[in-house]
Amino acid sequence: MARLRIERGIMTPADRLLLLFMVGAALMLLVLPLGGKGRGGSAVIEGAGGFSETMSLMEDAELVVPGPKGDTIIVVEAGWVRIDSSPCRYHICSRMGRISAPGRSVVCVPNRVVVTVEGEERSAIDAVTR
Amino acid sequence: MNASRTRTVWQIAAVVLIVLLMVIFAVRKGNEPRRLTEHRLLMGTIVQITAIDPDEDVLRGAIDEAFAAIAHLDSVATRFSPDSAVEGINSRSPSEERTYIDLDVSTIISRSQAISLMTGGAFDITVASLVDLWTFDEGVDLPSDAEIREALSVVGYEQIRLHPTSGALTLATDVHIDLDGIAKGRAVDRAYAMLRTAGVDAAVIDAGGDVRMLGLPPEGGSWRIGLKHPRQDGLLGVLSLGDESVATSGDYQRFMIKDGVRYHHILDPSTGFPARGVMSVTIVTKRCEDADALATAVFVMGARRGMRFVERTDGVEAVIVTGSEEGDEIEEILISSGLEGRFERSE
Repeated sequence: MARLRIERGIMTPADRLLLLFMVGAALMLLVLPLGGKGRGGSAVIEGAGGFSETMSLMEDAELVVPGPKGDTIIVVEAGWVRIDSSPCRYHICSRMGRISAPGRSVVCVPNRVVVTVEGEERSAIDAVTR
Repeated sequence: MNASRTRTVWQIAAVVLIVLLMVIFAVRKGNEPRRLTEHRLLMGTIVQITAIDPDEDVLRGAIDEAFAAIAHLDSVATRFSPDSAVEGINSRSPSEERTYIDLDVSTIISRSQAISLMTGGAFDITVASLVDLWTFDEGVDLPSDAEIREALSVVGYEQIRLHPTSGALTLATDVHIDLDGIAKGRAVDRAYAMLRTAGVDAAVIDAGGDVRMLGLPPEGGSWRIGLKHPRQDGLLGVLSLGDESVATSGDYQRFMIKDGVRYHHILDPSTGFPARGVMSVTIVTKRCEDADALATAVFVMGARRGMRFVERTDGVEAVIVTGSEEGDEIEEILISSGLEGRFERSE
């Protein structure tokens, strides 16, 4: 132990500060997760003919998306996005409900409209069976 | 050891420590699992694949191959393209009883026949004529009893003969097939096989609610799969699952309300009418094609008979939600023994 002891006066205050910094950095690198984007906070709306728009989920809004069967209405409300109405036969899209988790989508297949919440991180639910 | 030598040792140690920290960081960054999600419109729905692996090139290649496999099945198994194998079968001339079919379609028909046998005909791909009668368009009259009787006369899985080696299909005249109740699940299974062969660590393949999981989440624990509430926005509950498949049949997707009665798209092949007494059936199995077809079959069987079938069938689990004929209230949620402790009801 005597051989490893750092003698008084050998370490300057700057050395001690550096040592402290390195120990702290080592602990952070080992413990903290790497990378990862924060919650998306926006939805990408894709439609026929290359239509693409991004809607922030932070503010309530409405978007009209033209498609082969007519206009699909997308609504953002209180941080959620949903297909409010669409000129499709069975209205499965508007019955899919609202979404806010990154990676989740709602879609109107006949009118070629896809709504996807942005974000790469894993959400609380991996998929929904319906 | 004198002071200057001790100081030199300390400085070397500091440099070594910094290099070590950089190596640790680089190694961790290199092995960090990448999560890639892509979606495409296929099989009449949105198909979403999330794949996880440290190698982004592996991920992109595997996802492309998985989507290509699904696109192939979409092109051969749909009833809505005149060029598909299924439409080739359905549009055969009356004299043409025997036809040779696409290998994928042959495999699906073969599995469908096995499930029809297992379920006593509760799942049946010869319901095409019945399906065509029920449009669920608002304002359109219900099919008449005579129309249903006529359609039922060409329903029956026993009327299909599939030669086990040649792939030759023999169908009675006027019998048409509809693979919608199983093809989506089969497509998910094909995508799963592609991802697994490519060496992807973990993935979730979701074709409009028919879902199969590969491996386990890299964060640990199990996959969390939400079950749609049959009458409200949001979830009924959450299932904790592993390398398994899950699919749901519900009376809330294609339906119409007439005189206070809900008429939906899950038809009982024995009566020709929508099956009654159940709001949704969720099936958990290894293969997604089985989950897909069995969700329909158990719905048709009804809650009690359906749950008895699930309990006596190895590798099949279920959540069955029952409701009253007229009302929109859930009466009961039945959970099979193998899902106890794995289903968490949402508030």
